[in-house]
Amino acid sequence: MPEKMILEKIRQVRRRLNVQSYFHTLAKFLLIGLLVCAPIVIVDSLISSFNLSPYIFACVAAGIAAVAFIVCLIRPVDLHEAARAIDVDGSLKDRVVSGLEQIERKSNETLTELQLQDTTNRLQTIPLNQVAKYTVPRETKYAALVAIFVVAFSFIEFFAPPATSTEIDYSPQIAAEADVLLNTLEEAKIEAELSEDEELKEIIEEIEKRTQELKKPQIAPKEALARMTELTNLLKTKIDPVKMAQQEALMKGLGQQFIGNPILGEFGQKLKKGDYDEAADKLDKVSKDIPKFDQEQKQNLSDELKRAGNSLKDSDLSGLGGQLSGAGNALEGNDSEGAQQKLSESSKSIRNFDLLKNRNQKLEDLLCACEECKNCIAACCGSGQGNSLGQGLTKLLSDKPSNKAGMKTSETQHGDLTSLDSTLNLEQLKGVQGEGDSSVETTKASAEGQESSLSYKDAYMRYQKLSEDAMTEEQIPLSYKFYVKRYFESIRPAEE
Amino acid sequence: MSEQVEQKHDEFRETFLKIQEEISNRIVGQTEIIEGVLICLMTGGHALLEGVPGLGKTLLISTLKEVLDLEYQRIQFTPDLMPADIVGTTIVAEDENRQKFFEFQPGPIFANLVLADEINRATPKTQSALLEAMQEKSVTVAGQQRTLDLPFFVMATQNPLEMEGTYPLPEAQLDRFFFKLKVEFPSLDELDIVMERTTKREMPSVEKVCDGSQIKDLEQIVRDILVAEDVRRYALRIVMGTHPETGDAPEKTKQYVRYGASPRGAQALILASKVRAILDSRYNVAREDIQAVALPSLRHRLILSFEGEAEGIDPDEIILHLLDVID
Repeated sequence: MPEKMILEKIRQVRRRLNVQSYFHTLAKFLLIGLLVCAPIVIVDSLISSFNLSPYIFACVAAGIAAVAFIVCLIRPVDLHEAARAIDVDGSLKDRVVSGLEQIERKSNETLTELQLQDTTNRLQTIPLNQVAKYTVPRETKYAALVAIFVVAFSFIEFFAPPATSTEIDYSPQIAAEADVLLNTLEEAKIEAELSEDEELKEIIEEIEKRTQELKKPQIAPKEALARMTELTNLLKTKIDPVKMAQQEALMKGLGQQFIGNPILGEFGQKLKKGDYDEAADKLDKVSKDIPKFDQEQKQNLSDELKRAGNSLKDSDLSGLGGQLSGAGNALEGNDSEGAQQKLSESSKSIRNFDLLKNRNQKLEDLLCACEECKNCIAACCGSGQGNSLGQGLTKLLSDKPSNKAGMKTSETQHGDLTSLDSTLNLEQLKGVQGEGDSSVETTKASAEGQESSLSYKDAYMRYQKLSEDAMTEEQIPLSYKFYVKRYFESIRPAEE
Repeated sequence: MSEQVEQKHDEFRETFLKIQEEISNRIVGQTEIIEGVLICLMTGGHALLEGVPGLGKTLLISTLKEVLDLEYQRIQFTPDLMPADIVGTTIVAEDENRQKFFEFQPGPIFANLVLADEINRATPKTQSALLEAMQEKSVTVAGQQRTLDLPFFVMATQNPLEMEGTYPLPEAQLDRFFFKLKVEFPSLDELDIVMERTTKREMPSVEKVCDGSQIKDLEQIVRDILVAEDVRRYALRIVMGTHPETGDAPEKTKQYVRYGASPRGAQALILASKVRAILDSRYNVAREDIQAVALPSLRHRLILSFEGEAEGIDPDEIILHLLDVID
């Protein structure tokens, strides 16, 4: 029975083709899955924040291949495809395809019988294992290469990120620096207690409180530095070195005025030296001696005090000036008690200034200590990092100016450019035709032999569609059609 | 029964090959042309031969006449040729009693083998008279239809070079031809043999192989050959591929073809393939057969677009491209 034999052969080939198809589909879609994963793996390697597991990629690739495999199982190779494969591989010139169709039709014609017999004879000569050979899918090697690539990339991290500040604990170093600062503050506090400077004591306690916060565990260097910056800023608001220097200069000037005076000379010398406490003592002594002074001495003292008071008028020490003037005026009015009282107030003011000066000095010392602490924190925490948190080098002005001529010339040696705050307004003035006579002259001349502004190619392209439409749609007699075509061909631009 | 069919197929092959052999005794080379002409003859179709003069087109059909012992007529087409010059006309005649009556004088179309030489030189009116006969296998003169003797085979020729004063065949009339065969210039060796054969006192003789009735029988054998649906669909996909308006048409078709092959083209593909199947001792048509006959079957049925004609695209290129892309 040729029909049975043909069908059996086709089914055998179909089985082989199905197995082959499963492997090919698996390999092909595994390759596709890996190719889908490859860009994600590369991105994952470059951008560390993803950190996807290699198993995810394996699952994606295997999942795609599995879905395709299931589809392949659901839709196996049919008999016609198998018959076609036999025809192609065995060069049977569609005998098997035709034979299968005749079998399905169940035709009993003579020619059908002959065709089936012919097909059977041909099929017997062909070994089926050569028709549908089991071969390793071509995609396998590519899939293997891509898999190696994906595995390699999923384990290698390019551009490793810098260690973040939270990864290294700098709090012990910060705490150590804070302890150093606290020791300094303790000493300053004792001194403040001794000098009975309550305000200074309060400031030191505030600084102490803030410094204690630096000792909390896991504190970040950035936070510590920020706190130190706040602390230094706080101290800077309490210190006014310029004002202090000005007042000190006034005090020294005041002392200079009194140096030549027989009564106030010692007081003046102490003031000039900056020994304000002793100067206050000397002034107290002068105050006590006032009742002993004769009228001339009193007059001299009064004049001196009033002059000194006037010199301090409208200055930062106007209060002291007022007190000295008041003492001078009291002496002039022979009011010894009033003068003594005013001089006592003056000595008190001088002592207060001394206290203020000492406090300012202490705060400056503390500011230096805080700055030092801040720099130490920045240095010790910034040394192990790529981005230094420390301060850069400060460009300091030289305190030893050179005697030589400079090397450069100022770019604005002729002064800065003048900046004119003005804008240019352009106005267009339109003429108005008057009522006078006008004449029009028309010149007739032959056109000049210039080239057309439109190129021939552009002109041709514009009319090409029209010519094509004419050829396809117009009723042109056949005998003339050739000539029309030839005409359009002849006018076609050469480069077309 | 099956032995009889086998015998008929063997007979077909033998006859075909014998005719081919006899013609080859006189015609040198041109194997594909001879095979194409014989395929047309065996399927009841007509052939259009395109080639420069002097390549043996007339000799081919006159040799065929001798081999098949069929009646042969040659019509030289000229611009002043009238339809009546082809199909014939009625004339006034007298009988023995001197009574006058109209008598039909048959034209040269009433033959088994007709050579329409330089068909594109006649006017469309005259061309259409021949083409009606080709399609219907009958002519109508003075309101009376006259059937032509079978087998009826027309071999038309046209010169592709001289287009001056010609009336190229319209596409609808070209479609009536089963095959369009391009007669190529012979090679040096072939030309040498031609010179040797044709410059002697006597021409090589040919033997009669079969007659008209045998040809008609052979034609029936061809039509019995099996065509699987898969193969038939392949042929139809090629034909559909020549139509630019179909979605599956390749880009080349869309660009250069205005109108594709007609259903007659598909019929020609299948029938010609059947002949090749018999010649290859098969009872079924194969894709290889379709591919082998695609060019002569379809090349004259493609109407090129303006762009195609302007760029000098050969329809053969489009068909070969289709064979490449269609599986």
